Amino acid sequence: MSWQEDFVRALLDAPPYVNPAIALAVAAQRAELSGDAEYLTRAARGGAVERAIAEGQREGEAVGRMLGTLGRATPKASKTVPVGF
Amino acid sequence: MTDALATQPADLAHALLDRRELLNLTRARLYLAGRLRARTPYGAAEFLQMKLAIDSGIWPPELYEKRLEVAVQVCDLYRHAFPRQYAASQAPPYSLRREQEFYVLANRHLFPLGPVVEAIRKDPSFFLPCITVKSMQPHDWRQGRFDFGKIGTACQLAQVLSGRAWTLAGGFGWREFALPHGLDCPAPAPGLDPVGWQLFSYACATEETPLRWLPAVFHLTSYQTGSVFLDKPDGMIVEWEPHKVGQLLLARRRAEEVLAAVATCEEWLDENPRERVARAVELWNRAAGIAAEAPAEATQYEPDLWRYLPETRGMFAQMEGEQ
Repeated sequence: MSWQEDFVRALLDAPPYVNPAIALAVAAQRAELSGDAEYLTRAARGGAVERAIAEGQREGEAVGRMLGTLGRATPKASKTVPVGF
Repeated sequence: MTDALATQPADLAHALLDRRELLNLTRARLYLAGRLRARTPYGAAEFLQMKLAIDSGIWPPELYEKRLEVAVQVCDLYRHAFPRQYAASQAPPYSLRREQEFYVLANRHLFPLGPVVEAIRKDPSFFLPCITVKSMQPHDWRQGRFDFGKIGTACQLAQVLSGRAWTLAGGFGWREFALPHGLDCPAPAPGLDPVGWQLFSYACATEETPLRWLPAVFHLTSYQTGSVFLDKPDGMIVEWEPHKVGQLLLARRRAEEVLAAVATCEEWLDENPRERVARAVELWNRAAGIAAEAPAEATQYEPDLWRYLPETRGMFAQMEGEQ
């Protein structure tokens, strides 16, 4: 059972993380609502916008591939009885 | 300057859980690209034009999003294919000008896109919603669309041997080809069946002269080279996707190889048509003779490229299927 416990512990301890493209979009929206119209221009100057979009897209595709792999994975009978059965 | 990649506010994840409609990657990408694009003159004009048309019901609402998707895709391709030029570009990110820079570079270094420089000069708001693949064929080989007397010797020979030659005078065949070149060799056998074609291709491949490229002339004139730049006389439309751009780059190289081989073969035949065409006809007739003795089914001649290039057949079929 130790690997399952480790897995659950890793999930619980994982820091909150948001896709960089989504994070930048939300930050830009917040900045615009608060009156900072140049937020995105400043971000674009250093290439942060393009990086966020590219890495966000790459991450999204990786998650999609992983979900696809999980969906196609062959089910296997468990050696333990689930709780409640 | 705030870099969202370096710092993420601690409350961001919790805030997004409360507003899950914001957890949409496509929306986030298009929001960022659209905001930057709309800060440029052409981007703003495009946004207002499309908004007007969408609000009036002329265009569907998702059209602007599709336009932004194309812009993001093209700029991404630009960044990967030409990183130095992209870094040095003075055009605003995701702007129309940046897309046009990529068109010019792609046309020069990747594959032909047509007269894009001229098009941009005439219309500064010019953009390509998809890749328009233009044919690199020197002629249109469909019946009635080319002048037999104006094509090269190798192409005339291929047309005559395959039984597809015809002239504006109405006649076609060996006689019309042999007389101007002063040929006195025996006339070629009528069309080869698949067995005869294989024998002929093999015989040409073993030649040490440019005659070994004569089968490529058949492929060129029958739109069966394996390259979309030579096999689609009316061109085709391809989306701006990285793997398709890669396939087109390979297809362009294949097309250039075929055209170079055909040009070399033509030049060689023109140097001494009497002897060299006679050699080609000799190989043709020999293949026909051997094939006639083989227990093959009688079929009309058609050069069958796909037997010999299964890798290009798969690529071509995939591109046609996705179109």
